[in-house]
Amino acid sequence: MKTGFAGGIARQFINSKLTPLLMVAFMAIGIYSSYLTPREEEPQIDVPIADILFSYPGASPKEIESRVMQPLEKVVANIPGVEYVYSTSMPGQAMLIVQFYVGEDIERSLVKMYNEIMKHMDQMPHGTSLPLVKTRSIDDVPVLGLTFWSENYDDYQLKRIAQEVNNEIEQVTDVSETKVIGGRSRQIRVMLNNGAMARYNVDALSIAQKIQIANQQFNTGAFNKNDVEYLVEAGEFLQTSDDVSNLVVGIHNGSPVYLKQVAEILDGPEEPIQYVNFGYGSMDEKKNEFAGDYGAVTISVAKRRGADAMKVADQILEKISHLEKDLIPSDVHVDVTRNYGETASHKVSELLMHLAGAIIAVTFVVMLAMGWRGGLVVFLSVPITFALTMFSYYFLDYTLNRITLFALVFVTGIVVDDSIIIAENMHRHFKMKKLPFIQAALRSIDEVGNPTILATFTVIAAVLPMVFVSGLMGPYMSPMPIGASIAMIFSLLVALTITPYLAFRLLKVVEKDDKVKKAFKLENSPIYKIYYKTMQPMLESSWKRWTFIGTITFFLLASMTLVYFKMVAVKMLPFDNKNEFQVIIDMPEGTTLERTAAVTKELAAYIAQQEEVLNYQSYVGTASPMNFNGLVRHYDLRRGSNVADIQVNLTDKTERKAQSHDIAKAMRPGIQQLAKKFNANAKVVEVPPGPPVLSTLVAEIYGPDYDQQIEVAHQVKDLFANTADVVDIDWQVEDDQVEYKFNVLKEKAALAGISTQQVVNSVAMALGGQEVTQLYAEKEHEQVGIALRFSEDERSSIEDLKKINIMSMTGQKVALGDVVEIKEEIQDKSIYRKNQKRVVYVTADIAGALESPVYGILDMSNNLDKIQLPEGYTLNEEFTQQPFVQDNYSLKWDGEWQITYEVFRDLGAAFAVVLLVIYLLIIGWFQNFTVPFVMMVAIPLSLVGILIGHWLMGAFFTATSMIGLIALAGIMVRNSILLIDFINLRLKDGAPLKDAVIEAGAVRTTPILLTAGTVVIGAVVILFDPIFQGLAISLMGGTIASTFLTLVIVPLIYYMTEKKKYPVEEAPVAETPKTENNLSNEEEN
Amino acid sequence: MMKFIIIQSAEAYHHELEQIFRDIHINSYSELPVDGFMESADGHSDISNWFGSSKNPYRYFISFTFLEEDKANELLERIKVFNEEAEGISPISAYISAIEKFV
Repeated sequence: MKTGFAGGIARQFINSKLTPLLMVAFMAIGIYSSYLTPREEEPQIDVPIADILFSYPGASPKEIESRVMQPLEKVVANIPGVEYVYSTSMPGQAMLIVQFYVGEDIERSLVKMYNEIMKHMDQMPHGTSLPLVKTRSIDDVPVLGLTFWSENYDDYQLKRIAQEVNNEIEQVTDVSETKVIGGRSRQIRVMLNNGAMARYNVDALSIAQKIQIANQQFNTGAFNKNDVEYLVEAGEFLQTSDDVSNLVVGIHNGSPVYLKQVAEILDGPEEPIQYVNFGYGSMDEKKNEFAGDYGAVTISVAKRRGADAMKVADQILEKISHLEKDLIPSDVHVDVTRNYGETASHKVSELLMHLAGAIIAVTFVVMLAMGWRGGLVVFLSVPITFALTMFSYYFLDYTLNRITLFALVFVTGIVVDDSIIIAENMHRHFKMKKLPFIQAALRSIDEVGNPTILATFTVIAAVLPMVFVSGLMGPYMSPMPIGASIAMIFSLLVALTITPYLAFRLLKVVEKDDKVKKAFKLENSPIYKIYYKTMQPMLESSWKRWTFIGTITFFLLASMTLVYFKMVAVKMLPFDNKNEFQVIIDMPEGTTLERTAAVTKELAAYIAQQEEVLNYQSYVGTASPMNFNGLVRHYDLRRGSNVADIQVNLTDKTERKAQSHDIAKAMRPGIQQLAKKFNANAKVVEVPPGPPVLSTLVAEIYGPDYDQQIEVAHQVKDLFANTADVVDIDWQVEDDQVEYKFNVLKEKAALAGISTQQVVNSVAMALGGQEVTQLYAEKEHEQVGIALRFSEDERSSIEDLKKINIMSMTGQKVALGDVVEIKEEIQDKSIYRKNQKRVVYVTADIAGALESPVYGILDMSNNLDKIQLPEGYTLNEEFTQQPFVQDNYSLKWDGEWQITYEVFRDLGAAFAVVLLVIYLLIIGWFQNFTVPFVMMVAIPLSLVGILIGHWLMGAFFTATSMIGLIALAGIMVRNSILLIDFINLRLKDGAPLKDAVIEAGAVRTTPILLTAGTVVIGAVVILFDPIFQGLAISLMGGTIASTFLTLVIVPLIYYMTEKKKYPVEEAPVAETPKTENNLSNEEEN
Repeated sequence: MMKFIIIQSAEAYHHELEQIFRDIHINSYSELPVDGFMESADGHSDISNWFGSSKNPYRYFISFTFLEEDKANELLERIKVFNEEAEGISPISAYISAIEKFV
């Protein structure tokens, strides 16, 4: 049999015994792939980031900036692929953050960067340390957090247990990096007594030397005697604290001076530099039993790239339950305080359920239109499409995450189309009974083959340009168009191979009583009547026509004003419903660790009382295990006695009604009020739904003078504070902290025989507690340091420090106070730079009704003129890029705004490309330059439904809404094609234009409604997902509005453009349909 | 008496027709593929077409051969039987016509 292209493919499969086998095989590999593909919650983002740390002891921030950072920034900025270079010059140290473009090859980028830096190390000033390069990627985010706490064990003992457990965890496959956070390590603390040292005529430096010298042992060689070789090992390591205390550190009056005589030696936990605590919240029933706040140690576990978080977490937890039998004491509790494997797995299962729901819902719609057999055909072919898509995900190295799966849910309503077209046409041909079934089947497939292929490519053309969304949102967006396009291609293949097989078997037996049925008359169908009544007046009167078009235009414009009047708020992505959030606490610089810990405890106690809080872990002086947000915000690098954060875990989202965002929002005022009482700055930080940014709202202040920049930033900060809905305001300028400068008086020191180095070392030892050497302890996990330090009461004031004795070269004791001059100063502020320009950051978050930073920025923009500037300067406002020159002050809005701007810019560009490609496709098909415009009229009409839909649902117009808008363009144009195609068909038959227009509407309404129905119903299942709600509303609202409007307005406009070509037929035609219609009505009566 | 036999059939029945020829030992015949057009026989069939736009021809083939009269009648009889089995969908048509002269 001779067939066309589509029929040719179908012929190979329609009767082949292989087809059912292929169906089973495809399903099997699909299910197996979905099992093999790693599951995770967030999509993989390949953005190479490196933190480069330098230390340059003693240098001021300004010096570091000009000597180290500026040259280095230039070097790094010249590396191709680098997007941002952030630098921070602090007193004595510096950090450079290099961020490459998203999607750059991680290894290659970092090697390039390393290479460039190393090449220029010779230009670094003397005294700079070698750079410490720390790379970070999304896989560094720990997937599992285990918190050990106990009533009976202190954090020192807990740490030792945790280290043992950690050893076991690291043996699990696919575990990459683990960290033990909190707890104190073992240390031999040598607490020097200034008075005793003076008595025995020793000083700290000489003691340090003695200890170092004493701690030696090595293989010195061998000697031979009587033909035997004897090995000699000399010396002995310090192995216990007794060894240390019995060291002889000097000779006084002819007798040895032991270390224990001049110092107290403590073997045990080091002095605390951090506090980690754990406590239950009000929602956990264990709160009654364990009401307090317990010292804790957290182990965080990151997984290897590409590994399945769920599997890794399960294995570790199994191991823990095994270890609880012997290694972990029964009164040490191990709580899982983070399990991203579980949340990812939940998310994926939830989405797979959504997918199944969508398939069933769509099948139901098809059944209504085509009967249960037609529904069955569709129901069987769609899963095969998705199975094949899953298989390609596996091959493309995609993971199953919320984006890749949403791509599938989103196209469910669209992929059924191909199968519907094929099945419906076969069914129609079978009913006609003009040809033997097999030949009818192939002929029917040939008949719709090309339109099917065109429809598929129109939809692909509509979604595929979204691949080019750049920046951090790229990895969030690109799986959508790629996944959707793959699914569309497979749906076409399935429609040409498997659907014919199924339809041939399921549909050919129906309607045997065809001859009994009354002959079908189009004019009698209810759709025709309704359509005729709607269209006829408008075809007759140009006045009515224009009124209708005018009304539609008015609605379109009116719905757009919803955005202007903020009835529909624009936001990049709404917050997801998570099980955690974080409270970041900053005390003023200069606060002690103990004070910070006390404040944190207060806040934690407050949080624990709140609704829906399951438990919390507070980290004082250190940082909680990094999360997705912290990756960019560098929260994990927070160290120091004035910082703390509290990690709050909420009850599982399935067990509560409130969204995590609302909980966080409700808790914020209370937390901040409490924090204010203690002079602390507390921020409530949620896991962002999209790519992480420094802060939701960031104002970057640029200008010619850094002090003035800080002054301007201060005013901007006040402006933030006075703007409604702007919360969590902070800036990156440190508070003033008093710093004493010990300047060595050169002459005096020289006369006393003391070198500057001695002074520096003595002070350092007195305050910092220098680790002079390490204990030789074979069984310890970490090296046990021996730290020399003055006892607390001898280093608590300037007067104490002045009394420190230093031994001169002649053996005389000289008090430190005699050779130094002490000045009180304010510590230099750190200098921040972004892409080689000095910047001051002011950060904030947005809460309230309009949660989008866009509105906050607009509000503040209006008030920027109130900011006082130095004479002769103005404040420029930048929205999209850093200022080009810095001879004037400028404010650049950044944070979420930057990403919002980039996403909507790229999506807008994608939309333009979509329109162009669709235009080209239609020209190719219809060979006409004007027809495409008529067809594309349908596209803006979807906006009416989309915007009104968002308004009714009170939802944000988000990036996903925009995706919906763009994808709809394809579907709407496809509908227009169906209509105009039919009009042309009838015109060719010689039908009058008006008849053709009405018949087209009447005949093609059913398939158009069917498509619309499947799209709408398929979208219902995602309507209640916080992130993809916008997409669902766009698909539903847009489809409903534009389908109905398309059905009327596209034929109408086509009529208006074409009527001049068919002038003659106009007069007689006007009467005919009316009479026919009346006649048929009479017949019925 | 030699007769000219023309048979018009849907492509799908090609195999069956071949079988009939074989059964009654017709060893030589010719075939031509034919594109048939039928302007919506029941008046409305094409109007209800949801998606299609192109009008494809009905694909037939025509077999013709020269037979003795009794053999021709036998063939016609077989085709008639076949058509009854085929439930009236696209029956095979066969025509016998006289040959006036040949050399």
